[in-house]
Amino acid sequence: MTVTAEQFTEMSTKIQQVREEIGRFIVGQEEAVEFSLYAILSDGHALLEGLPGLGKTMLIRTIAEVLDLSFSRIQFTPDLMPSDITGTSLLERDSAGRQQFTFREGPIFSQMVLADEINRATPKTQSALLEAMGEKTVTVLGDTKKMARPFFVLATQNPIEMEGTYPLPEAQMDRFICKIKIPSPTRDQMAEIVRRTTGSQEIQLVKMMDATELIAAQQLAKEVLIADDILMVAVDIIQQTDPSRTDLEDIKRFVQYGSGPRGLQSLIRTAKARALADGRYHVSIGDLKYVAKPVLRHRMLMNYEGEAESADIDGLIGLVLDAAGRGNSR
Amino acid sequence: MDSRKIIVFTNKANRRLKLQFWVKLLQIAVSIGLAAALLVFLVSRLSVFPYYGFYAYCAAVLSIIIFCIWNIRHMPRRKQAIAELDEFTPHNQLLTLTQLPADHQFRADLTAKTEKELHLSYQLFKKERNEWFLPKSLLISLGLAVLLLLSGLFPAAAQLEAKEQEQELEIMEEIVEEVQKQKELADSPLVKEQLESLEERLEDSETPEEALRELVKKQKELELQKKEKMDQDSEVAQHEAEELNDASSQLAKQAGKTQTALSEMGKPVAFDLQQALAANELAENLQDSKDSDAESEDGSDDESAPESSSDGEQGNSAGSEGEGTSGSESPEQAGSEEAGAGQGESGSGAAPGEGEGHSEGEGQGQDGEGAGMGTGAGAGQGSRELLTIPSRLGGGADPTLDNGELSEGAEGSFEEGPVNAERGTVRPYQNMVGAYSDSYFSSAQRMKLPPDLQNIVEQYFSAIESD
Repeated sequence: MTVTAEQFTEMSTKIQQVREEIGRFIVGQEEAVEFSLYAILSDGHALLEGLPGLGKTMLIRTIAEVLDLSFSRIQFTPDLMPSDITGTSLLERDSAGRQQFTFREGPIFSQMVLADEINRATPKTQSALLEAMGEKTVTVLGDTKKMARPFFVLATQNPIEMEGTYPLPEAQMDRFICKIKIPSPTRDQMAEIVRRTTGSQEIQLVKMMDATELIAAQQLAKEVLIADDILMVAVDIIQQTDPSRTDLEDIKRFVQYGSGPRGLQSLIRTAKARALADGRYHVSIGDLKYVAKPVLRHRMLMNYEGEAESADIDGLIGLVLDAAGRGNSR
Repeated sequence: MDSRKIIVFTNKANRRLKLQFWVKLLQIAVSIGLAAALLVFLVSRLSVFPYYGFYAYCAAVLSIIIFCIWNIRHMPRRKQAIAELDEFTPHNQLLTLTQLPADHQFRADLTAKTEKELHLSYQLFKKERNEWFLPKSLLISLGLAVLLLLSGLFPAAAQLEAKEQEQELEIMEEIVEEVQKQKELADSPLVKEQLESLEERLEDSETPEEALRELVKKQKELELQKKEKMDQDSEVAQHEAEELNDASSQLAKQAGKTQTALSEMGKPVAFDLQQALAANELAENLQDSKDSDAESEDGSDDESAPESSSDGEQGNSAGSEGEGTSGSESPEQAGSEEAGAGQGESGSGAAPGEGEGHSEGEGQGQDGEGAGMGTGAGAGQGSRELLTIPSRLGGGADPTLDNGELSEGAEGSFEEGPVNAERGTVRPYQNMVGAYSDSYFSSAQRMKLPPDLQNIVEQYFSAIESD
């Protein structure tokens, strides 16, 4: 694929317009918006973690609307079955009177799926979703269905109310390209949220991109260059998260498992998405460092000591970033 | 990278980094070198370690060189310069550009972008990478230098001993060098062989005195061999005798030097060795004296010859009959009697004099005949050599020359025990000896005899007083 620098510039402008449009409705949450877009551009999925009522559903709905993508929301509950997500084949009679199995698509077949409180469903149901996320296909009764493109899952987890939940296994968490923390809004943001949502005035969102353009953007993101030395910095970052390979005492002390090749892939893809959003056709060390925390924070498993001392995972990643390579000062 | 501007800036960055590298490396290397030198100094304070100063210097220089060579692999290369400069370039443009394939579609665009930014990037690079000094290393170096200075200013006993050993080793080395030099100069196989054997013995010597002893021994041997050869009529033998004479005289000179050096170190050589050396010196002086006499005679024959040719020697030798003491009873004495200028025993005496062939000296003394001794003023002319060199110590052929006129004097006598003393006549020997030795010492000082000769005199009087 032959691409030009101008294409990157144009795409960057478009992405910037998308962000601005989302910002017209979503108050604050810049990091959540930004990383949701990076996840979409890098053809990945994101895990949102935040307290209820912080606008997670509204965020994903807004993004879907601005990007002109089909949207569905699945509220995960303990009695949710895999077929409730994937869909099922029903025996139906056609106009000729003959009976045949017809596949009814589940909510997963939307281009943007909000998997709300994913940790409330059973592992079996969770795995149905995760399979679709990984393979971009769904197999029902031996029949494999391709997912719509682009396909983006944004799952949420509630960090409190852990009773009756099935926390996602680390291996499945690894399938999310990044984990985005939704902070509580500031005082001014809360006032603005109220102004925008409780009045009679409705904000009409403009579709800034469509699926075709989004796929083109994803393709363009893949074309972003990364120099060998910068790639090695990314490798160093990943290796420093591994307690058996790191030089950092805190990582050895608090971390049980570090990130691996999938973490490295996610880091590079997200960094490329950021470079694209910035209008560049090459990744910088700054990109790697910028996206490292959301990309790595759910891939590092604390040990007992880390849990007991409530070690801050973002702080540990910060140490890794300081050690892995010098950042760019400009 | 095809942009000249980019190449210029990366080269500049590379040069700057290399310079910084060497400046910092040398600061550390100097610390390490000083530490190595101090270590050698510390060891030299605990154990006797000759040439510790030299070894400390070598340790310092070697440490610095080894450290620099070892670390040369860390010297910044062009790649590192690019990486460092890239840190000040927006979004790692420079690094990406250098790793792009030559025909990449973004190359031209990225080059243009980088060129625009590079000047500012280099300014930032210069500003940020401006650390030239390593305060820690400099402080350590300063501390080590102070310790070294203190160690040098206040040497330990072991260090002082090491210095002495150094001097001794130098003396021994000097002897060996002289022997080697003589060996190279010698044509005669006999001389070469003798010098080779001396060299081997010198190598086995552990102290300078041992080496000196070997040297003197060999010199005497050469002297004897020379005499043997001189007795032979053949031309070859005469040539060998000449060479033996040359080698012998050079070894004798070296022995004298060595003795002086040892005396300066406060380590006088053994008495027997002192005597042997004194004999050498006297023999040499005699030879010189003979030569000067001969020259002087030649000079009187030839009016056109400059008078000064014999002035010095003649002046020195034309002393009056000075304070006398019994001379040696060597066979050479007979020779002096034969010359008609001597007596049964020659007295020793000295008088400084200057002049052209003649000088007047003053001295206290009394000539005696036979075993005569006494005090009294005397005056004389001519040359007198007042010490006899035994032939076993390689003395000259006729060491007891006395060319002065005989003075009038009564025969002395010797009486034991307390006797009636009368000035100028008979005195008790015990009283006499002390005054005699004092008188002789003052003469010796006036004559500025070499320390080793003075030692001989002192030892002589000690010996007779103790008797």
